[in-house]
Amino acid sequence: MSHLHIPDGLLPLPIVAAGLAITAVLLLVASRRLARLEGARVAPRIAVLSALMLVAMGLPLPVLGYHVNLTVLTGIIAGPAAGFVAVFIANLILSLTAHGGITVLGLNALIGGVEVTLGWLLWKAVRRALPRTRAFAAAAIAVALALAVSTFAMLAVVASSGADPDLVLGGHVHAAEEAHREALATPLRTFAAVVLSTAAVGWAVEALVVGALVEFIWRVRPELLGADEGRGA
Amino acid sequence: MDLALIDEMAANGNTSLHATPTGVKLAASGLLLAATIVAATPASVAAVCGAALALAAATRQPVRRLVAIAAYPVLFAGIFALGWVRTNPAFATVIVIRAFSAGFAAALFITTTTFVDAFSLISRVLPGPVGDGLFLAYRAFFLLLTELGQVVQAIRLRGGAGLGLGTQLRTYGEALGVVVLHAADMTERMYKMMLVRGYSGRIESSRPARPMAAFHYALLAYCAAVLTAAIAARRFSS
Amino acid sequence: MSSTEQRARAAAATHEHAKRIATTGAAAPRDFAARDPAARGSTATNDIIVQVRCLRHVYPDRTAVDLCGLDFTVCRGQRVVVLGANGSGKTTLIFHLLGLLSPIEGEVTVFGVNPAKQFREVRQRVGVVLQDVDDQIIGPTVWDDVTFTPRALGWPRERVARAGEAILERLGIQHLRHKIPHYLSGGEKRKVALAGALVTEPELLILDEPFTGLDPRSRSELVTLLEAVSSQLRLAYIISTHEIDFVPHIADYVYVLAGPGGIALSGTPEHVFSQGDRLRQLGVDAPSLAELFASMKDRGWDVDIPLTVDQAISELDRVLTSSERKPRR
Repeated sequence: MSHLHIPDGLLPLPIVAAGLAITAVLLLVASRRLARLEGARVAPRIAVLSALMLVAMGLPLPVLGYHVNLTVLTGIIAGPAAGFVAVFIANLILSLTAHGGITVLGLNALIGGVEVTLGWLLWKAVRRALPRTRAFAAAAIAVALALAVSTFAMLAVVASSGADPDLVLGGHVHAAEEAHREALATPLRTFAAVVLSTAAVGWAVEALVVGALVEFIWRVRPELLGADEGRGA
Repeated sequence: MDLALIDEMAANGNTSLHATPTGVKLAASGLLLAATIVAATPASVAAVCGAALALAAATRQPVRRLVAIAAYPVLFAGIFALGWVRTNPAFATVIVIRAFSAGFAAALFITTTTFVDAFSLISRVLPGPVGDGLFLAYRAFFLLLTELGQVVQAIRLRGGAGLGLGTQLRTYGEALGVVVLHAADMTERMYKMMLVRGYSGRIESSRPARPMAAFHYALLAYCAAVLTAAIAARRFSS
Repeated sequence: MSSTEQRARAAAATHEHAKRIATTGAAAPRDFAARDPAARGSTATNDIIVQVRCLRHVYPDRTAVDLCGLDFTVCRGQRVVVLGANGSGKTTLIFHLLGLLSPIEGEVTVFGVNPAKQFREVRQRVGVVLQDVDDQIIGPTVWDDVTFTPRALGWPRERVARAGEAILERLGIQHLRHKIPHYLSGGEKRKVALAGALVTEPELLILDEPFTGLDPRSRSELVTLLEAVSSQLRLAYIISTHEIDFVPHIADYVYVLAGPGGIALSGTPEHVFSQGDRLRQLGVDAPSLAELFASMKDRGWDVDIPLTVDQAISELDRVLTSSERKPRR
């Protein structure tokens, strides 16, 4: 898979709570803005985008059964606000079905939001800076970079908790001890190495698939890739 | 992950949990989830997990299917736990079992509660467009799933996705492109019909109220007891 | 099954339906003789609920639709069918009536208002059933969907409940009220969509290709339902369809769209279907019985063009028992 969902019970409560709080605020701001700009069109637009992401996850690709997430495509089509709300809905449904943590719904949604926003920005930037770039290439670059950044963001979230058993399980906290910090760094490095090596394959796969998808849409209905907030699908 | 299968299990199941009010099930799953997070040793988190499995078995749920659903989050937790296996195996074990136990609690809830029932409750705490988006996403998911199935079938009937990996990935990308185009049209049609039918910013769902019975109180008490035991075990071990 | 056999079955189904209406008295039969083209011209202006004059629309992909030619008018309680080949503009017309499209030229009024600007004012009086009912089922459950519009209109809770119960009972789908639409059969979904369209007891019902995908029996059931509902609620309806053989049973007035030529033909079913050659030019078949008797007429038989099986039997009886049995030439 091109990105991984953080499960429950891995991160300490303050980080989990912060993720939920930030997501709640962003959700409120985004949905109010969208309702003001788009009125009744908002709900079906974000619903269909969410459904698209969920449906795409059910299509196993001929590379180790990877599936695409279409979060970056959602950003390209819908922009960051609608894209974030759509990602939240998809993550909510996934968390209810044990495909992602429930308590860490906020954090998973924020990571998805990073992909949506970065994908949107990179697509516009590449199209603007290199207008003769084919849609395939522009989309593939946006996807690969956005997913790479979001993977590092996820690693950063996990690392910021210290990945400290004492913090996660609650116990005696070994603050500021060199040996203890070094002991925490090794498992994190192992984790990062495994994640990055598996995720990198996913970035490449999703970049190729979404690149082909975007090229196809660009030929048939380029207006869908308008990519401004309030326009597009 | 098979959303359609999960929804079908919820819609067509006939166990005591299926007949339990949604709020009660949500609270019970929440208590089990809390117990999972609170449990801090391999033994205690395994005990919480065991309690959830026992509940599923006692209420005649398809335990093997629930285990399969709950196994997914173990993958990520397992990757994380790899780094701790040698230095702190207890921590690694707790992480993995926690992921499974939390997933199992979610699976127990969603395979006995239709998405419509779950969303009816959850949408009350979400902003209007988000709550409405939930219901519509559910509708749209099944429609688009059918579209995707038809496109994939067409690919198979017409000779397959291609010989090389690159060609295959491109074919699947274009197949998804067809579905995206249908999705864009679906958005327009849905929007137009909502306008015609007078949509004013809130889709409501009224589900038949289920009265509380002794079993429901017992369910809540059981899950509360599991949480209490987990808290006590944590206090005792620290 | 060959197309001949399909038509024969459809005709038989129509005959069964006609017999049922005659025996049950579910609706007053609209008689062959009673639908005089001249009678329509006497309709008072205040009975006109839909009027479309020379409509022109251009889609974003630059496809232009021109519905000029004859005016399109629907009166209170009138049953109108719109025929036309694919791409002739039937759905475009319907979308203009619903206010979903706005013409670049021409005039559309529904209950006296421009629907593109003031549909809110007439929403309660118009019900709609689209070709693909999945497009219009919004509510999470059948009850939620059926009561969607009255709740959106701000009806009090008790009134919503009464209206919902009444329409579920009228359509015989009370047992579906708590079901999730996704799990319903195609026929059940269609009834749910119809219930949602009728719950506010509209004065006008618009149906876009309602018979698509239905087997002959389901088509007959839908026709019977529409007959019953239109007479009980004194409902006008506009149906766009390709199901020619049902048209004589469901229409007081027929419009035939010609694509770029706009509305090419209009009149009672008898008047329209007597013009077989013109219809063929417009890409529309006449009902099987009309074609058969038109061919007989061409061969010199002294026959009128019937549209229903009973009428055909009467014509054959008359011809076969008359002294002149052979065609004139």
